[in-house]
Amino acid sequence: MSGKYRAVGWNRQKKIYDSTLGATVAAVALAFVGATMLLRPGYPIETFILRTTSLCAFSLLHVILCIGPLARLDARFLPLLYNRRHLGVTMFLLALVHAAFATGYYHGQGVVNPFVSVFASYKTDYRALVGATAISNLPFEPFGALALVILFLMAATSHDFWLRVLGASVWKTLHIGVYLAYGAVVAHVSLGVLQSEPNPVLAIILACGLALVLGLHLAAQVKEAKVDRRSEELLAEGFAPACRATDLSEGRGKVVRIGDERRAIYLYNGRVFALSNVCRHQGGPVGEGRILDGCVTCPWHGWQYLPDTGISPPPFHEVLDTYPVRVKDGVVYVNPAPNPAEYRSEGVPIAGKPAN
Amino acid sequence: MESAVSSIESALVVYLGIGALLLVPMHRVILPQLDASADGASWGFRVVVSPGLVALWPVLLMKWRTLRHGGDPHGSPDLPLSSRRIRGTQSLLIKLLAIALPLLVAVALYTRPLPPASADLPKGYVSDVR
Repeated sequence: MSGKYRAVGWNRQKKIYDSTLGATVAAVALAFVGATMLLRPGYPIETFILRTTSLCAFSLLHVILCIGPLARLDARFLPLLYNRRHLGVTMFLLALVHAAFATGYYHGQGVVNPFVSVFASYKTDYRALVGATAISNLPFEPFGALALVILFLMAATSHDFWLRVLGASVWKTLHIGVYLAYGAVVAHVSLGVLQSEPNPVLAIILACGLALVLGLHLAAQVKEAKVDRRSEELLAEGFAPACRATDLSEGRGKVVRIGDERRAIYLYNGRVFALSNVCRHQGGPVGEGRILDGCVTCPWHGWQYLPDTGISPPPFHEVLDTYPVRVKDGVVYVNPAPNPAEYRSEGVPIAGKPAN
Repeated sequence: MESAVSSIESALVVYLGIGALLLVPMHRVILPQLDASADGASWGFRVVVSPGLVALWPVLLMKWRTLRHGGDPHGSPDLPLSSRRIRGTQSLLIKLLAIALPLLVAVALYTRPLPPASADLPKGYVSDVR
């Protein structure tokens, strides 16, 4: 949240998260190097660096892309979202090392500028000599370069400062670019190493990764579409039915769909409050959080808002929209039009729920 | 092709060079005005955001200019971020990738050349190990 910026706002969770990340990357790298030395001894050190960094970066990209839909499908994966940006920065650094070594190793030995050689000397590859088909003659380097540029922009703008300066919409749109980067990386691998690697293991790993990432995303979309359809039938003029009062638990949030948008419904001290479901920090699902210290708390990074006004507790100043609520016949209704700015809602009591 | 790539490289060097030259004034003057939380921020923060400043310096300058002319550099802070638009864009991208990527991998596998026999390779050829 706002305050004096630091490079990283370290806490115990982040330290555990990053230690686990570093140990896992090191273990995967060592296992790969060890296996390669056993199976194919004699490889130069540059090849080990190239292959190890590409394997680790590509695997991390899959992990990063899978965390979002996994958290949507099962809330037990939510803790993985907490520090996902550090996964992204680590993945970019690995990809950068891979690109630097590939440029130096394959393009830095001649008289042509290595940067120019990366994009202009592809036709000297042996594939042109053996009369390969058109697709295998497509250059793979530009796809890798495109992915690296997108990943750089994402890593470079991962600090909260950029979220504030660029604005949430621009920032989020920029970071959705990870899907373009993933597409570019798959093209880079398919047109590059896959064309010259006779071992089928690489093709199998690539296909499995693709199936995992796309399958999880499509499954999460199907699940969310079902939720949206159920609540769409209840939409009415003015106040729209949101959920049953019995669906709410004290101190817990619930995400509902009102019209085209989602709202967060909270039961706090026996009273119902409705807020925007989009956290002002990184657009996290506010309704999947809970009340901590009297504040609605986003499950992603712990940004907090008072349930009655939607304003972050002092000294912070972020604001979420709040919405008028009615409870009738055991059904919670929410008006899609937000309350005026700085409006303090009393909340609506639910019969039978504890008032305090 | 080589001259085009060479021109792009030169333009990139000039662009990033300007960004690097602007780093100190951006940290000292522009950032604290754009965001009060950057005023007196740690050195670690300055290091972490510097690559982005070098790459996106025109964006920062435009926002600073807006601020100097009395505008709001961050747009409307109360404008709610539309979860519908974000989800719609993400959903569309996933569907496009779900069609394009399996197709690309399948075509790349199906049309890849068979490895040439050793006798067909040019003299002194060293196998590609990428």
